[in-house]
Amino acid sequence: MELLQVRGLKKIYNTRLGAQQFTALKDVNFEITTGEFVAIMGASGSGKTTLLNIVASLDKATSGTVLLEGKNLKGIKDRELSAFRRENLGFVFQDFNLLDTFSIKDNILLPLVLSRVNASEMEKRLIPLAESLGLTMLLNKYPYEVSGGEKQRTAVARAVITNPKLILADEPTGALDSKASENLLKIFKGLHNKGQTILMVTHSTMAASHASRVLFIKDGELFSQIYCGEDTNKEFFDKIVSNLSVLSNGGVDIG
Amino acid sequence: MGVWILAKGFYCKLAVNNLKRNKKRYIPYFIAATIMISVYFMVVTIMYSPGLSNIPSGKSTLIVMFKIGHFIMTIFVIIFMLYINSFLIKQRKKEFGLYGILGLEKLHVARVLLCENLLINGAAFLLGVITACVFGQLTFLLLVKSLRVTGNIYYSIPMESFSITFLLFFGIFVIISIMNIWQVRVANPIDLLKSDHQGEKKVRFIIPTTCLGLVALGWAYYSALTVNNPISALTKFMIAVVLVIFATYALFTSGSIFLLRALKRNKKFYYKTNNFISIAGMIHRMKQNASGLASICILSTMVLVTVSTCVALFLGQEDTLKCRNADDIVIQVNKDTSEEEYRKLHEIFEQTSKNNKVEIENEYRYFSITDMLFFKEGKFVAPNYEATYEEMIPYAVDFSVIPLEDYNRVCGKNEKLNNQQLLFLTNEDYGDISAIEIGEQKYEVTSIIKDTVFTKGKNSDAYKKIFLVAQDIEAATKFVQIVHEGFISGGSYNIILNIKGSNENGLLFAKEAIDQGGHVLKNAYSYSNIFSDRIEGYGLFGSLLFIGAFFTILFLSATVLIIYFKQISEGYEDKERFEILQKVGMDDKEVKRTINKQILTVFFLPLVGALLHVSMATHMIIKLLEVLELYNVTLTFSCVIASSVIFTMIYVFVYRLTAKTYYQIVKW
Repeated sequence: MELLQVRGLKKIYNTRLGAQQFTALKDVNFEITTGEFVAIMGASGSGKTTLLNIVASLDKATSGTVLLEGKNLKGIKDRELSAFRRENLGFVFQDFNLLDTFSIKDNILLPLVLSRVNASEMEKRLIPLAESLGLTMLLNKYPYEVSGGEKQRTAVARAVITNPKLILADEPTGALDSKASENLLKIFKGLHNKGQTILMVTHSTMAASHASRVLFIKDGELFSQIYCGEDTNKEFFDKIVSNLSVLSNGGVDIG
Repeated sequence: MGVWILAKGFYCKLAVNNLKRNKKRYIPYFIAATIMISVYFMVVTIMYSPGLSNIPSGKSTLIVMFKIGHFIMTIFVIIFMLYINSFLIKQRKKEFGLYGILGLEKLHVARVLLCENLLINGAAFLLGVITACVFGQLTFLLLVKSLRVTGNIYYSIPMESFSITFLLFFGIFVIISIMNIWQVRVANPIDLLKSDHQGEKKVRFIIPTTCLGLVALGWAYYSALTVNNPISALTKFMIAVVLVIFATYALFTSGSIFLLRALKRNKKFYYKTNNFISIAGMIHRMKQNASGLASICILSTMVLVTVSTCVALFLGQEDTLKCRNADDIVIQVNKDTSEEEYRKLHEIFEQTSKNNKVEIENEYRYFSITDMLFFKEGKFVAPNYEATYEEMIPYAVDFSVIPLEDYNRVCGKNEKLNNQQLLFLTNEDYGDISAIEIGEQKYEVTSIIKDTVFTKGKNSDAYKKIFLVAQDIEAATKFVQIVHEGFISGGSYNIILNIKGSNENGLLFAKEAIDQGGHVLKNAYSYSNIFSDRIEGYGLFGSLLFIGAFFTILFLSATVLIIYFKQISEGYEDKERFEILQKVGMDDKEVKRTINKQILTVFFLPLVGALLHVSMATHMIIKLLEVLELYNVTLTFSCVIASSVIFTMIYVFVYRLTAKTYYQIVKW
């Protein structure tokens, strides 16, 4: 079943004086089926993050539609938007976006509290989740007391605890060292294996190689896509690298 | 050499750029420092001003007042400047860390810091002194007006103003520089870079500190509310001030955290959307700002107490004066003074009153012996001289016993008494007194008489003082000896004069009459008059009001600056928090509402604290002012209320002003 459908997405930014326009997204079309783990790759400025922000309903498209389970995001009223986001989407950001004022536990519980779930239900969901992410011992610590990898796992826990339909990850490994990155990607893969749909924007070939499909975006348009299929991680990695070299023939630098 | 100059220029340029970049912080700092310097300069100028030596009330009162004020001000300025500086440096630690990483040696950073300090403090000093010179004349004129000085007074700026002000602020500059450089020298770049997120200080000993704070506050409030005699009010006031300062810091830093943690522990309560965000946010805010908030609270309390007492004293000075001087002129002369001497005195009064264009309203004299009785449970009894002063105060009533002859003469009556009978003169209500029993002796009170000249003077009624009329001098002396065993007082004659005329003429009359009268009297005499007291009062209360005003300016600018710094530092943090909450799926309206609520709570907590302190202190202030014989409770009370209302308005205004900067940072 198609979980997410993106049709003819276009995003134009006006410069401050409005005289010049900058086209971030020209015409983007793709679908994501339930249970897929999709990575989006592209150079800096290719429009990846804009795309993700529009899918996340944090930003509005100039034209085109985004359908989540057939429901048009444009049709959702502003004041229902944050509730919609909370209930359907989970976010993992490059810079974690944890609140220093909350302990790890409270950071994870934040979306549940916002959705007014009762306290005992929260505990019920939290304990196995923390266990699976290796956060049990850290629950009472504060974000500034733990490592980057631990912070990102906390962010993942926060994204997953609401049982969202779709997890959106923006450069989740961007601020992590290679070991923590590897660890995080394993967690993503594990979630994927359990049937979680994930859309991840990344620069890192390593990160992308854990996905089941990779979309390449260039100059605001979908350039190509490859499926993992039955490939091993290594084979898929090589495929992505060769695709990237095609992508960069236009002189675009890949980070 | 060339490189050296280049390098030097580089540091200065860097310093200037830093100040420009941090202008949101340094402009307020600069303004506050300028205000401090100019107020300080003005105080020193007034202290050393040669022009003030012609003040009729005598320079001494004024100088003593200003010396005390100057001393307190010096301490306050030092503490405040250091505090503000530490706040600024804390905010910039990250920047210093970055310099370290970019390869500037610590010595270089120190040099940049020194340069910055020199620039900002030097500029503040210059502007402060210029402002003080410009406004000095105006201030001086206002002072002269509030002292009601007329005549030959001129304004000049003594050298001491420059040297003393310079010395103090140069000293502060040196300490600040050393402290800042020390901060940079001891820390390594990584620590400095991270210091931003070390915000969460561990608050230790929460429970004991909270308990101590509560005990201290309870004690201070209790002693403020129960103090009942003016003399002990002064010492109790000092103790209460220290206790309140301690309690405020303890409760703001630990008490708040204790309370919030208790709320947090209640899971059902804590995990509700609004409570969740608010409690965590408040814990964070209190950890960051508690001491700043406590300082605001204490400064605000100081402003309120200073303003209301000074204004009450200034406005109530006529009351105080009249209370102290029930009649215009009182001369006490030896009881052996002869009729001849009295006649001569009377002639002098007649003559000098004509000379000085005043009219004698009434003139009378009477013999009296003065002592004390206890008024207990509706009865007058012999005092217990063993008791301490504090134990005596609630019961003690002063009395003067006068012979019947003098009473009949002065009041034009023809009363009769035997040697066990008394007349009771009062203008207060002591109920139905039919007798005064002292041990075995019983004196019958034949009547209670109000509104005699003895208890109802020209200027005020006798307060806590009664007059008793005995058969004759012998009976009066015996009565006192019974009341106060072993005490021998001969008593004295009192000559009372009340006049009509201006204060100036009255003063001239009093001086001349007493001067000439002194030649006539063979024995020692003493006197008091309302006219010279009034002039002295102008000096005392005028300078008090003035110092009060200076302190208010200092305290207020300190309060505003701390509030402002708190707002901007919170602004930067809230911006980040606001964005995250939105991303996680919180309604932005809801985010705004909860953050607004926290900001308001944090902002108005010190005001509420200060108003609470002041309301508790009001009773004590009233008692304190009784030491200075200001018994006008309504006046004191209205001064407290008025200054609280005005202060609250200023506070809200400052909030509005700083909130603007806050919202600019958060960009909602």
